[in-house]
Amino acid sequence: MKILKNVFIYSIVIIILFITLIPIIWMLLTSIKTRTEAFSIPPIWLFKPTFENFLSIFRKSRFGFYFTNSIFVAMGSTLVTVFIGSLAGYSLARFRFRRKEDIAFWILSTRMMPLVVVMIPIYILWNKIGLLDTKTGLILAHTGMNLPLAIWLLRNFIEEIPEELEESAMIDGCSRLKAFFMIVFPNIAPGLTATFILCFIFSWNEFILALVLSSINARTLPVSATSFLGSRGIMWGEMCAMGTMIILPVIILTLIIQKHLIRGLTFGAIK
Amino acid sequence: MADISSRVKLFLHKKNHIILLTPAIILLLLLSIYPLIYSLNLSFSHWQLGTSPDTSEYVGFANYIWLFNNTQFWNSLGVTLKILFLSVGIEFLLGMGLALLFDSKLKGINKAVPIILLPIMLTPAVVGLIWRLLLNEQFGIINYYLTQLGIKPVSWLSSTSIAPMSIVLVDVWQWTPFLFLIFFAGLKALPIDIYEAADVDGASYINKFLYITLPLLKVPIAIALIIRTTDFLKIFDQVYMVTFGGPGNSTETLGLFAYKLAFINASLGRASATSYILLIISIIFGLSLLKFMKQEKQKQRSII
Repeated sequence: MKILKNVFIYSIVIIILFITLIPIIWMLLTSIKTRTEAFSIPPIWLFKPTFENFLSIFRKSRFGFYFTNSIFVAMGSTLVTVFIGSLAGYSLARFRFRRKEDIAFWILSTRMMPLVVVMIPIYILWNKIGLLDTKTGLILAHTGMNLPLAIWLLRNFIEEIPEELEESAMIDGCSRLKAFFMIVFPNIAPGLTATFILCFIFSWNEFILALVLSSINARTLPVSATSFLGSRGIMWGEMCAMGTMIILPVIILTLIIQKHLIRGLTFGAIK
Repeated sequence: MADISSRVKLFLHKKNHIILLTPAIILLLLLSIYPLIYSLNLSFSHWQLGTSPDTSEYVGFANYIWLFNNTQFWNSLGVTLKILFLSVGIEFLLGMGLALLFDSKLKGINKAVPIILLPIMLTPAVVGLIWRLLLNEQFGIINYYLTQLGIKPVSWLSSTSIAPMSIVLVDVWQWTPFLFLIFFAGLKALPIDIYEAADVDGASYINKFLYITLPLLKVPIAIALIIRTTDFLKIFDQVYMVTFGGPGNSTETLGLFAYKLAFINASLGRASATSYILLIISIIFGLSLLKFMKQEKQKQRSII
């Protein structure tokens, strides 16, 4: 009976792994198939791989340019977000002041807002001040999107460090600012890394703001993937090559921060 | 001079918390609050995209009245709520089931967890792409293997009644792991001695689940459901990639409806009015999460 139960559980786990992985693997396989192989029925699982699709996205779609844009926007917005977020997070973690929780929850509430609501006003504003279709414009927009998460997470991480560490440093003549950089920063390094990576992935993945706020110069990878949904049919091989290049960094980064994933996705509410 | 600089120092010292918060608050005011007010104003105006801002005129509630008399708007609202309740409901049941299964402490089972979590972080636009490929009705592998099993091919993306279910399918694939993760962590944190006591009393598995596990998991369940709901209301990328609202407008969610109004029909006022209605729905769900988290935070404080 017990063995039967274990066999049952293991088989369910294997099925779940299949359901999770097959869609991703199928995209990877399609990206290294020829056009005929990609469309063949029955589906082909074993074949001689070709990298034609990857070469093609570099030649046809300025892939390198979009890739650089994506890295630049995600890096830029993440650096700004984590820097400003750690200052605010420190303030909320260490100081006692009136209406502190109200401010903290106001910050969190801006994250609940659907991006569709801010899309039109930011589009109009960016158009007016010349930030439309610039990387700076996208960096700013993504910073606004990620800042609440960064503040809440970093506050959460800082609150876990005993305050005595800073106090003893300050008694030894360290200024508060110095204590922040010399004591708090190194101690929250794992939390800082996790926050950094999460913000990076969210910016890297972001679609609707990038779609609306960029056209040629600042276009990022997820939006450029739509260019293969042409009117003359979908170019599956190229599209899958593009998709593979977009998600590979995400998969690697996700595996690095898996321990902090739950905290990151619940604003620190669950650890 | 020395006096002023020491006064500045004193001020800086006293107001440290404000200075540290200021950059964040300025950015959020610029990128969240200003757009909110602007949108509200725009939702009471008539303005065509691409024309000069001077042509914008105040029209009162006309945009909202237009929406309420528009069948496509009601369709979008219905589509959004239908896909929302189905997706989140299925994700909850599957996530809970999987968490209970994984909690059985079998050897090696934890090694599968990181892989199961992968879909959560994948680029939603690419996830849409992947499923568009899998669900393709001519050469997609899902229909092929269904026919091998003797099941008739399904019109995943071309039937107005099935296409919304395909969107549910994609959402369930991507987000069940999120609920699983939260429930799994919650289960691991439960005290074992209560279960031992229940075993002594001869409680059945179902009774233990209903009267011990579920009540103890109240907090994670509420947090998970509300986060998923507010996140779901933002759904855009997957629908854009998988169906672009079609066939007909059977999968046109409110977000996509607002996008099309703004950037295809160029009607910024009506789009803003739609986005405001979406905002109000989000606020209803979001506020309940905030209230809940606030209570929990106060409870933690009182324990400490």
